Amino acid sequence: MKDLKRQLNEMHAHLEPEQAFADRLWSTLEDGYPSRAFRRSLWSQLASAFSFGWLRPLPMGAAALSLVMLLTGAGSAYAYASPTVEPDTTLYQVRTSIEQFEGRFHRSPEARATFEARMAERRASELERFPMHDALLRARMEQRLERGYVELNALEDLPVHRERVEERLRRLDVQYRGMVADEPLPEGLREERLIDEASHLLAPEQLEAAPERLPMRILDDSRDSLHR
Amino acid sequence: MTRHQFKRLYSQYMPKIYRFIYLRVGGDKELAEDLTSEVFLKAMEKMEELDTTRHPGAWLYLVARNRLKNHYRDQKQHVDVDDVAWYLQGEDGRQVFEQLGDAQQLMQLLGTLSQEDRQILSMKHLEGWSYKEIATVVKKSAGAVRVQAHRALQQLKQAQV
Repeated sequence: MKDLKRQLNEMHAHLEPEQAFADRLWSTLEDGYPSRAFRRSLWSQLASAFSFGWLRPLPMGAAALSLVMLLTGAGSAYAYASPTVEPDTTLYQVRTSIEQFEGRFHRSPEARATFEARMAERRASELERFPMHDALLRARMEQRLERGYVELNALEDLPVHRERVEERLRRLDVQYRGMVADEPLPEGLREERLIDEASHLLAPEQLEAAPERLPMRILDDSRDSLHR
Repeated sequence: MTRHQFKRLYSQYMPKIYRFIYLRVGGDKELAEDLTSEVFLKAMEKMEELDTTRHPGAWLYLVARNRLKNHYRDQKQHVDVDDVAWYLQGEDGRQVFEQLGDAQQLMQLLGTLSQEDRQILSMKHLEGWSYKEIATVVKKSAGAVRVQAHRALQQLKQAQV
């Protein structure tokens, strides 16, 4: 039996994680560990957003402790997970910080690509969900589309994720183009823009083959411009 | 949970979680490190759950187990994570104990035990969990786990001869 245990112990020793990995992971976790200043600021923001009447019967110390535990954990989790946290709010900044921090954990190409696909989908769905001022929305859409197409390249090995992200980007693209088409622009500039957009989006022969990819107004104008 | 407490938890459980995962991803070190990192990131996000649980080790074990399940689901592989260490032996580039001679044979023998015996022996002797922690995971008393581990070891010894 001793011999068997010795063998198992040898195997156990062989499975030890590398010290460099242990140190690196701890230092990353430590960087992201909620600091006191962060907890205090999150507390004050959430306390003003919600009412904490249920804490009043508790002694001061217990109430404070409960709030800290609730706010640091639940606040970050809420900011991270809730689909209703809107861009341009502090909680949204908490969310993007957590996401950036999370991004540092994915080192293998596959994990990295999966993470990027998830983030790409999340950003695209935010744009679809949150009503914004037109100019701001347009700027965000442009930014998102630009980044989205770059991110697609990273998803070559994950066809399922790629298709999902591509589909979202396609919808966003149509939405964006519809929005731009409604803008009142000087005649010359409008024509220039339409030609430019149509030539970026589709080759002339594709314009004939896939008319459903463009809103009709842009499509008609672009056809005229290109055939002129 | 203070930073100090979290550090203590990390030092105590990170190697165990890493070994658990490493054995179940066929010895792919980089993947094991990635998944271990994700488990502890999750632990930090869900600190309020960790604060209230009486068995943080068992909680982390379950998080790691679920993470592994999700990993294999994403890969579209249907594998039982409790058996996966033995499935993956001998696959390309995945000879976990190649240089340990008899260890290969021992792993094969471990594969012949019942799933629970194997889980208990693996957790105790390969991954480094205590009987108490194993008992929480397999939902038995620490004494029963100790007896079962002893019997499983005897069974292994007999199979070796």
